[in-house]
Amino acid sequence: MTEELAPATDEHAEFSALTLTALDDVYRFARSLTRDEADAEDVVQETYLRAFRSWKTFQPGTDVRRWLFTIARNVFLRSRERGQREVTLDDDGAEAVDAAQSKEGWVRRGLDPLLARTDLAPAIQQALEDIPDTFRSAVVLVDLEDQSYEDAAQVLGIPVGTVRSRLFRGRKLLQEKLALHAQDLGLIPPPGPDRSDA
Amino acid sequence: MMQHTHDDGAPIKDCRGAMNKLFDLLDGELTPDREREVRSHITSCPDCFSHHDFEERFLKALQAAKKSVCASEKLRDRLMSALRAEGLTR
Repeated sequence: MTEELAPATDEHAEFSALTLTALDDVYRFARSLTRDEADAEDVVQETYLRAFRSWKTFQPGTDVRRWLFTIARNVFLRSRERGQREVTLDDDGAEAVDAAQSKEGWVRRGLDPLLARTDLAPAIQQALEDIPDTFRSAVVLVDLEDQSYEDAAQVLGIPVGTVRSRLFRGRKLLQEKLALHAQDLGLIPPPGPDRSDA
Repeated sequence: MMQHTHDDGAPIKDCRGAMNKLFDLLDGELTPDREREVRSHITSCPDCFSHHDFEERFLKALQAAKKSVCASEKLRDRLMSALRAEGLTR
């Protein structure tokens, strides 16, 4: 990275004020990419160092979180290319989604009592880690980090329609994972042999 | 069964049409006119209202869960040290 892109001293406060308030958000996104705490911390550190070095390229008035998410994703992809971390990108998952949808009635019955619980966060985090990477990234950006479809598309480098599709699939898979959690808690019985189970 | 589709601009005529737009509605991705149209159907249809209520509670639960994952103080300290080493002065 060239030095001329680094901020002047009087811009340091601006960099800190704008980017460090997004640290939790960037960390969550990095966790969704890496599914590993230590790897996520490495991605976060490299993301912020690159952001600092490139601060002059940030366009004032645009969404700094979207900018940081984009850098984080690029850092993650670069680290994967170097073989530091092997993560399977599964953009298909169609069978799993079909299976989840075929059990929609059972899923809803399982989630109804679960959604009323206040201790759901750990189960949601586990379910997020259990779904394929591509779906998880879309869900985390839109559902947890409040990015629009358009912003998520820019971060992920995919069309808006693909964001919409991945969101739909990711949410259905998450719901099935959570329904299985409800089943484990004894809140619902297993789905019947008839998968329609409405 | 709800599907994920693009908005083709066709009028919302039935439950299927409304449910096709459910996540777009909940995500704030519809135009005001489209949103009014979908909401009009949902509020008058018990089945779609129930579906909307379920998905809305699910998305709120996801949003609430984000607070359980935060950067640690250790990471903040490590990050600030790295940035200062890079030249950050403030």
